[in-house]
Amino acid sequence: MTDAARPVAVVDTSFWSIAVRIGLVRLLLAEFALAVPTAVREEILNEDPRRPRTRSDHQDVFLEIEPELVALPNPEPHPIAGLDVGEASVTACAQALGVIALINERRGKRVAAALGVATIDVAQVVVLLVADGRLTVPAARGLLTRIRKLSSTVRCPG
Amino acid sequence: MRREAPDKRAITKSVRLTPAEVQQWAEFTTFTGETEATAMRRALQRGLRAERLDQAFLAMHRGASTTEAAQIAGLPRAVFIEECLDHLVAIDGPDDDWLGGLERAAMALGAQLPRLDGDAQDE
Repeated sequence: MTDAARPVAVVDTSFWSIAVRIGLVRLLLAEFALAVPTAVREEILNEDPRRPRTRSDHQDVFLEIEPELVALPNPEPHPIAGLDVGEASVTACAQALGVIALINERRGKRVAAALGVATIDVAQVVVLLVADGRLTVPAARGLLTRIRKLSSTVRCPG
Repeated sequence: MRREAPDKRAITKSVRLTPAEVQQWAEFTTFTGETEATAMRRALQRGLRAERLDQAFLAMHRGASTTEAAQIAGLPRAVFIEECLDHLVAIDGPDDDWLGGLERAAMALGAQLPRLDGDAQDE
């Protein structure tokens, strides 16, 4: 699919971590043209002080796909006040560009919604991937079960 | 602008131990061959990191954001989120508007959501 056909989506840190953990990144890139604000990039690539000079999976995968990311305006929109740094910049960028925000935390989703920004969490992306024919229902069920084990944002049936 | 060099002076702190605890330290350092001070310092730092992480997880259960909890843990946010995923600590509580949010997102994206079984009977 070309970039023009894929909707742009701005990604937050916790969304990214869960997407990497369940192996969703390639499908995510097929569905969305991803954009990552500087604040989120810094959060993702911040070194673990307990293990200096080592990289974890969520960092490796990020560096691998970074060339495929969509560029954001420079300078980036001013972060939304009252949110965590990552969510604040994701919401501001999504609002300025009129695109979807990929946020997994309820508080961030609520504030973004109040500002008219459409947000989706990882589980919702899985459902949208089924709607788009990129995932079968059994595969989606497996992913939702993994998400449910990792995070309680959704209770999936069976 | 000149930067202040970080203060690396060691500061002495004292703790009171029971004879049984003193005995445990003596046995341990006999085994490792370290001085008690070295072993205690390492154990203290390791214990502090574990305590901070436990407190951060508790804060998450009380509704703290990942940023707030990461500060309690003394870790960068993404590193703390990885800890949550490793320890199966829920990053967020249930979202009452989950389906509504999904429908709004689908509408924004022009996606056709899969129909629930009951929907077909309404037509």
